[in-house]
Amino acid sequence: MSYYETMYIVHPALEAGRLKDLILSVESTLKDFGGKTHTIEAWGKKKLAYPINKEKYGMYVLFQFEADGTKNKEFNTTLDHNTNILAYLTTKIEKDGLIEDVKSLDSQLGLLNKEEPTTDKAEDVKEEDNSEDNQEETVEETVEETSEKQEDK
Amino acid sequence: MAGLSYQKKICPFKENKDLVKMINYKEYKFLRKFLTDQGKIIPGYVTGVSAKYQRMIAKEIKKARNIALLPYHVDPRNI
Repeated sequence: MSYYETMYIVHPALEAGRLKDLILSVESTLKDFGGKTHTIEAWGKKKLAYPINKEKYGMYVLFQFEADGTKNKEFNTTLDHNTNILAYLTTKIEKDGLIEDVKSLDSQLGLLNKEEPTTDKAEDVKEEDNSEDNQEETVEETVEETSEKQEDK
Repeated sequence: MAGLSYQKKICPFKENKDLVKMINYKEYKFLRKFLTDQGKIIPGYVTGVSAKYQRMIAKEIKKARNIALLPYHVDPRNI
C-alpha cells in the first residue's frame, strides 16, 4: 500500500450541498476499488489559469488516500466520466506529504460559502451540549433558523 | 575568456534546504517565481538553480499546468 493524492476541479456551478455529494461519491468509488481515505481538503473557488470547457473558475478539491496502485487507472476513468469534474491529477506522494489536522468537510464547505452564521450556530450547539446550560430556547431558535435556511436552498 | 568575467550564482535550494519542500505543484505561487510573464519556464542558468532542482521545478510546474494552477502560456498582449 502506498499513498496517493488526487486533485480535481469541480464545476463552479455546484452549490455546497451538491459539492459535498460529489466529494462523497468520489470517496465511495475509491472505497469500491479498495482504497482508504486519508484527508479531504476543499480549496474553494479559484480562477483557472486557462479556461477548461469554457469555464473560467473551478472548485479545487485535494483528496489524499492510501491504496495499492493497481486500481488507480479505473479510479481515474470514473473521474473522467463524471461531467462535473473539469480536470484531475493523481500523483504518488511520500508519507511526509500527507496533510494532518484537517477540519471536517462540513466546516470547510461552510467556510467556503462565507455563511459564517451556520458554522457559528453549529459551534454554539456543541458548546451548549457540553455545558448543558438553561439556554435551550436559544438552541431551538438556532435550529429553526438553520432549518429555514435549508428550506430556502 | 576575454571580458567574460562574472560572479557565479549560488543555487537558492543548496543554500536553504527548507526551500526544497516548496518544490511542489501545490505551492504554485512559489513556482511562479520560475516562470516568465509569458508563462515560460526560466532556464536554470538565469536563475542560478542547480540542475538537480531545476529538473524538479520543471516537473512540478508541468503538473501545476495540467490542472490549471499555472498557465501554459500567456498572450504577451494581455500582460
